[in-house]
Amino acid sequence: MTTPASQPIAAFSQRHEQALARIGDVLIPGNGSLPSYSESGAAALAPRALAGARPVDQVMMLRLISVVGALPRPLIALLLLCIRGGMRLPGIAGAPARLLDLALKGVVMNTYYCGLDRTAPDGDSAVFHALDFRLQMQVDDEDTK
Amino acid sequence: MKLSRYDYIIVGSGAGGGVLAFHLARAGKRVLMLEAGQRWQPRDYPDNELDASARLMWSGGVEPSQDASLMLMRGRTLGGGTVINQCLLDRFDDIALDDWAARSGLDSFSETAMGRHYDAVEADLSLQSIPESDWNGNARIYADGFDRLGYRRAPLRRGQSRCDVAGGNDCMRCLGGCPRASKQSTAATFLPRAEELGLEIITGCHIHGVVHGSAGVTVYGQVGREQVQFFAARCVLAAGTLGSSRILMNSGLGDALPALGKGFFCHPQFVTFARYAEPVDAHRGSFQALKSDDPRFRAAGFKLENVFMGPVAAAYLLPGGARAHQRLMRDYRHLACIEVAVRDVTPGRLSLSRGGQLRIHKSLGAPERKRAREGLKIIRDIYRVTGATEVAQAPTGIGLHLMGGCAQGLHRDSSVVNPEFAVHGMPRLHVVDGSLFPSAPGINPSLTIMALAHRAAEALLGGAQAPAGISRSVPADAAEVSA
Repeated sequence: MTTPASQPIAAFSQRHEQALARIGDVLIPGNGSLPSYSESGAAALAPRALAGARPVDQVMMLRLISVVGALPRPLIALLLLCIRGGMRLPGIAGAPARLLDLALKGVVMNTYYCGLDRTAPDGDSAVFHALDFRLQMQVDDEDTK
Repeated sequence: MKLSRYDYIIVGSGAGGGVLAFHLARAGKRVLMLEAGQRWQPRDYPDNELDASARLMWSGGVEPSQDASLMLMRGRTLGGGTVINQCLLDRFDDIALDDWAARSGLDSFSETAMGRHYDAVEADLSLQSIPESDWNGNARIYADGFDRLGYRRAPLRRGQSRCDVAGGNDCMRCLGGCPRASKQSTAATFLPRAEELGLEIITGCHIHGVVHGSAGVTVYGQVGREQVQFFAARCVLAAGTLGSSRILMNSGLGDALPALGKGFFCHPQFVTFARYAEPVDAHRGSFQALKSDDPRFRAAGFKLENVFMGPVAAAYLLPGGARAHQRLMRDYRHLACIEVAVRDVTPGRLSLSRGGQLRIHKSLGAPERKRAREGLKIIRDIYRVTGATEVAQAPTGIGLHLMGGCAQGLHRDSSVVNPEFAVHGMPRLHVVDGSLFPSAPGINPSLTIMALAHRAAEALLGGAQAPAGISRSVPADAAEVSA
């Protein structure tokens, strides 16, 4: 039995990673023991996170990251602020803001808070260290028979 | 090309497909199961939220409704939603079943008639109520708030066998598949038994459509890049509300089935966090232990759920700008969480775009907003009386219980599936999953989907005892008449 592979999307380039890191740093600038988004290296996980998305959504995400990530940081912050405000609009009027929030905040939070960074001094996740988060699960051979 | 012929093809392996496959295989039928997701050994399930979303769920995690007011989640793995849900298994009450009976015209929807089917599936599962000794801080806040405010609560009943929470295990891990095979998903229960009885399973198989003929049903789809076809005397769609509706619509049956895709419900859920001065550790142990059991809530159309989530989901749902958001996340261990789950009454609708993409039209109507507001007020009261220092309301609603779209009933104009679980006018094509629901019950649906699958097995096999309220003396295919 092999673990099913989830194919990272091939089109995610170094340029996309840098753009996503710029967006991520606005959402997660770092706070005491929590590293900033770029310090965590989380943007590199984006292709893995997007691997399960529909192809059409993957293409849209790459375009969105490229466009938003190319903006100056104050404009990125303003855009994210507008998105948060627009999310409150009811019905279809608020749909674009909510979809942008899902796309941008979704991928940033998913890659940052998943615990796959290895930036703590002991090689573990610095993010999980800061949260003091760990799940315990003892698995014995007997359990999975 | 010569096709292997099966007695039954079942599309989907969750609560409906898993139970049905077991009973059909046990009856000696040759059964093929087609599942879009992959097969996992329990110890290989992802150990992090990122991979769990990408590998175990459709669309990589969430699927938004058309107005993006709700984020919907559904499993894409062998075992379907039962692998990624919390396996909370409650029977429906008369409030839910009476409503179904009125809408469908089927008096088989009653506690008495369903009782035999609930009994049967419960006998094949390990069900445990969460004891107070397994409560974490979040459950204690929930219980304390309910007691102080005079609301009734009850222990949750969960499908689990050997979680060993006292030994330190954290069941939140099992939202990405239970590595101990303790959670009673169909992947850990009905499917292995069915395979021992001869069930064949093909995973990674995405179904495009079906063609119903006089001698059987052809199912077509793809495995990887290879186009595939399968043929069986009968086909059962158990791909869930979105999956089964999509397959029927993509098969060109929308015109013949005017109710197809209509009556979509999802129990919209709204999460509220609270911060406490002391650690809550809501992620530890049995992270869901209690449920609201207050008749006033039931009458008002909502329930309050003692729930929590991993850091990724919490981070997505917590509101606020950069530094405020990070401050709340840094206090993750100090966060409590309660959500209001609304029994929605405003039906949504499923459709296909011209490109064949599924569209989910589901807006929150005035009744849902009112019910949510009432529940959220009580949640804030609970947090106030239990000493929370800060309360944060998630800006986005979520939907985990996807129901309807292929409602069961007597008449073609208001339902898709007849009392014998066959699509109206297509005696060899069946649907057995949550899409059968005529309305939202306001109760977790998994156990009832399983019970309906048991009832469907009897109908398909021409069982000795027909479900109450349905007069039937011949097997389902012969009994079918055009509606």
